[in-house]
Amino acid sequence: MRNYLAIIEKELHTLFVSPIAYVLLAVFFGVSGYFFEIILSFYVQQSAMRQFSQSAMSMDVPSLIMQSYFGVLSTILLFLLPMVTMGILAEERKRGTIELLLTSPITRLQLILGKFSAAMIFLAVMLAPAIFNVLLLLTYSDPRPPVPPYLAGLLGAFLLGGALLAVGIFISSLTENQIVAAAGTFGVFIVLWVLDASAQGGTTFSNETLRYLSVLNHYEDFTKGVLDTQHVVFYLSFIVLGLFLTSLSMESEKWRK
Amino acid sequence: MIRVENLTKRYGMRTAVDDVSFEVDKGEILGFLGPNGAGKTTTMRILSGFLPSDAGRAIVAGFDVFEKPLESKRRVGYLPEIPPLYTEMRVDSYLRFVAKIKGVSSGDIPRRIAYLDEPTIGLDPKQIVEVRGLIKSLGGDHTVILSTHILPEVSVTCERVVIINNGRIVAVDTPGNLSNRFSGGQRIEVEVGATASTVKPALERISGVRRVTEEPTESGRHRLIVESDGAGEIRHLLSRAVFESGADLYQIRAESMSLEEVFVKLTTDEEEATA
Repeated sequence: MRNYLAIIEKELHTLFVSPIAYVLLAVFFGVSGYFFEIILSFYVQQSAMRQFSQSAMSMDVPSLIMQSYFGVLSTILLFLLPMVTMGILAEERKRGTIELLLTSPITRLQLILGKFSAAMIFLAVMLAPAIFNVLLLLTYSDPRPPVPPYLAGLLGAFLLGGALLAVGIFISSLTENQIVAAAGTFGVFIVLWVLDASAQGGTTFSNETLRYLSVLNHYEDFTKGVLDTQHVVFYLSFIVLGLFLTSLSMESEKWRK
Repeated sequence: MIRVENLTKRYGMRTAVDDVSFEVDKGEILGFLGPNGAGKTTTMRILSGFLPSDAGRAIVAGFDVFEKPLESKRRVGYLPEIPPLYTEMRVDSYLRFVAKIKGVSSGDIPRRIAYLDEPTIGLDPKQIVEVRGLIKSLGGDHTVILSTHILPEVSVTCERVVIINNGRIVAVDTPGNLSNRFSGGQRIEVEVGATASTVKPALERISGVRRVTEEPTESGRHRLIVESDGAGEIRHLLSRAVFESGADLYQIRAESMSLEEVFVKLTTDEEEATA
């Protein structure tokens, strides 16, 4: 436990001392805030227009906003998370500090979990404005919407981010070059993203499988405020798989130059 | 304290460490000497648990480094060739972090074993002296393996030397014994006055003298190089012989073969043999 905490602390220290963290946070805050504003004004306008045209159909403005907003969040995460994980192991190898870590009396599990946990803490900081925006929605909507669906949305963003971070850590373990790690991670993210699209139409086994493997497919229900354990399990297994592959990769001989 | 048995490590076709065995006693400072690429770093990395070996065993403080890696790592301090620094960290937070992951705290087992892989590379002369002093001061209650290709470092700090070349151990002994053993005795330079022709046979008659050769000098004197078997002192015999033959003695000087020469001899012979 002490080792695990020490790794987290060091990892957070490294992250928050580098300018990368602040650039990423600033970009995420700015872009997500901008989109929140656009989405908010769009739906407010839509609902106002409906009231003018005396339309019988009512619309649930807060949940529509949430759905679009969380959709946008996932796309921004897709672009930014590769940069959170790119150096996480690649840089240790390049600088030779991995020799310090691997000759210390700590287990590989403590090391990998520590690094992953630090990345998750960073993700939580990144998602802070999302929490703030959700609170805004909850506070100013009338009638006040129920809270749990919004928590499901936040949990979804956190789980999706976690799955992407686990993949990113694995890819960072494959190279010594941060840029290669970032590009590779980004490529893999996109493939995981579009698996869903490539399986459009048809209910053959392979299409179903592709759809199941698409990380985005599992995210949709969360944005709608639906908490389905199937999706939670999917993301958790994804994280476990990513970290397990990292461990295998670190065990391999080639890893120690 | 450290027992290495038949350690072998291959990188593809190349054997980096080839059937290496040695022991280090408690409190001893062992010099691990060899040219670059001889297998020093690979051996250190295996001992520190960073690299697995292909064959053989290494037992450190009673724990097999492959079977009980955490136990052996808990007892060892390792300074890799490239100092593992997080350059963005301040010195105090870096030290605190390392102390935490190494388990350095009052409740832990005190570390009494150190592997130092070329610790003085990149230091200025003053720092080198300081570090060598530090290493020397570790001896006694710490067991140290000091890997280096700088020979004076070994002569200054180590009690015993392992010379490794092309992954194989070519010699294990004290620095002093190595110098004597491989020089096959001593070389003594004797500078005498004009009558060298009578001095030379007189010197050759002394027991233990293997060969006397004459070297030219600019002055009118003669320089005789006496090579002897064994490390025994014969200078007094030489000077007496010079006087008895009626010549003047200007200088007498023993040059024992330096560790450097031993090293070059050992490592180049090996290379020639395998080439």
